[in-house]
Amino acid sequence: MSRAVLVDTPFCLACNACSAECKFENQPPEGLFYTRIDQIELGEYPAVKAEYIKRQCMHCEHPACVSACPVKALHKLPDGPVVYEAERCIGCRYCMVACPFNIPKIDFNARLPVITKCDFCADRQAVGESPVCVRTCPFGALEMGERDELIVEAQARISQSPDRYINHIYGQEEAGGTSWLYLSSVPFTELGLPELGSEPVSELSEKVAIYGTPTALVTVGAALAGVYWVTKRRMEMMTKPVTQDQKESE
Amino acid sequence: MSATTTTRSKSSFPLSFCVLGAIALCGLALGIYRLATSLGATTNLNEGYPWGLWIAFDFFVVPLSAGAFTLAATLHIFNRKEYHGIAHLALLAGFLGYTTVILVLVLDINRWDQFYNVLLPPLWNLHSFMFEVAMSITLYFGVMILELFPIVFARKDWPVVRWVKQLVPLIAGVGVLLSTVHQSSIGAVFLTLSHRLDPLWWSPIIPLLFFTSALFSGLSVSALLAIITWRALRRPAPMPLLQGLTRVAAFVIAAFLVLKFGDLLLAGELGLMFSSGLLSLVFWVEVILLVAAMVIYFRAGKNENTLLAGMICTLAWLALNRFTIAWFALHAPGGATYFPTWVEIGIVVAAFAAGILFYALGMRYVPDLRAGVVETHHH
Repeated sequence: MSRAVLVDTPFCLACNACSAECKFENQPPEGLFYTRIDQIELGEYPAVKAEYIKRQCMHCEHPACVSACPVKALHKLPDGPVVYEAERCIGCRYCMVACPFNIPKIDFNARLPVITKCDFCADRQAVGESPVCVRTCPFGALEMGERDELIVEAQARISQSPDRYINHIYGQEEAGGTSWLYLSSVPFTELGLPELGSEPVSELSEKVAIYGTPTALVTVGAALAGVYWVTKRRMEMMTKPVTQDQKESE
Repeated sequence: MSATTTTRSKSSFPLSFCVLGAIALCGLALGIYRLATSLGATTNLNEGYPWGLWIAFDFFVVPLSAGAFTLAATLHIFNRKEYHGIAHLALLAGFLGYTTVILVLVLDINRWDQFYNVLLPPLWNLHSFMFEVAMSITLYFGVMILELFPIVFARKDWPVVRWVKQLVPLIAGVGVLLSTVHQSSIGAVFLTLSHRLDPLWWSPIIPLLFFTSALFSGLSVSALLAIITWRALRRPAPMPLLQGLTRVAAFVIAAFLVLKFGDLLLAGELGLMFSSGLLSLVFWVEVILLVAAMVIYFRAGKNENTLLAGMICTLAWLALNRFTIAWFALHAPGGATYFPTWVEIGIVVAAFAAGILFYALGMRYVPDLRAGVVETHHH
């Protein structure tokens, strides 16, 4: 089973401890963060309300970036994290364009930039440690566990406090499901999360690549061979009687 | 006396060659500068626009170079030998087009030092259309070199020239197959970008739209190239051949328009043609250019200049369509904006200058390319 994190956004007070500790521990390039808190102002003055949401790689169950990468520089580990191997990357930036959450980034000022994105602290998880942000959050807004169990837990929180949460677990279905799940008191689009269907973003593309490409190759190849054979035969038929006549005259 | 003047005029370079060469050299210097510094120092690419002018250039030049495979099919598969002069011009232009695509791509990717990774089988991601594009363009580039080899060295008495020449129909067939794949695949790259690409252009049949438009663009650009080349060599253009090409192009444009509007109709998105603001305008300019080209191709008859207008409409449509899909209609998250720097524009200008220069040099110094033009005229 895969591990996941439940983000209980009403409990996030935008202290930025997760973001700062992550930056310190993981050392992404200057100006880039694996995780950061977005502050969103909702409503018109004076009735303004501030909302905070922690953003990082969602670690999709069917990641568009993994599907897009031509050289398998990105892949999803069985227990959840979507990780990146810089020595494979050719820097086409298709993953940056393909990600529906706009997560992969590069340092445009580096001479040979690498994709910078949250890796769910895959190395720390491998030795049984928690991701830095989960470990750091002082308000218990981040809870880690098995994905299925967290979904049950999230449903329980919604039914216990229907006034606090809208009835939607973001990431349960979105883009085929994600390893990071969100609860919120306001609609997720207002927090800047995209509205996505339950079909993985890359599903159509993968189907066309796996079935469409070989079909096109075989069909077009056969058609070309057929046309070549017919036109060649026609040319032979047109030239043949001439040679026979010549033979007869001899 | 007259013999010496002709040799002198042939060996002396026209001023236009020097200007094109200077622009190309400036581009080379800019390219080295880009690789020595960073994308940030030379381009306006940003988090919202990881793809910019250079990618759009590649998406435009690949179908612009489609004449090489459409004419190769005409010549070698459909066995229309009368097209061999035009097919060889289209092959040279296509080869130069793909060369600039590969060079600009190397500048654009940020790990150009590891580009060879695409060629390592354990890393192949068969789910990725970027992989398909990279692989089929690389292979097709090799095919074009093999196709050009017996033309460039036709007058050498090397056995290898004869061997390659015998295999040319097979090589050309492989080239047509590879082109079918990558002309569709560069469209299929957008299949996974429905959340970015404007619905007026995003479609589940976008690979088919890219392929059909590569067909009529390739035929039109080859005909345009023939008119320019024949005029440069001061010979009357082979009108029946050009009419043949543009007539087929007109039918393919008609098929494309049926696919395009049929797709919008079935998706229930016809309303977007009027409700997308500036992009609606772009859409209608595209439609008008394409319909104009189709009508001209069907009705121009033997009028060379009218036919030329149709080819220019097709070329303008191709540029507008591919730049729209790769740039204007690719919505950035978070309201990011992008406009290329002078370095980005300079590289593109230099790429076109180099392409034109090497095409002219090829026509000048490869006897069989020139002979193809002369023979076509006599037939």
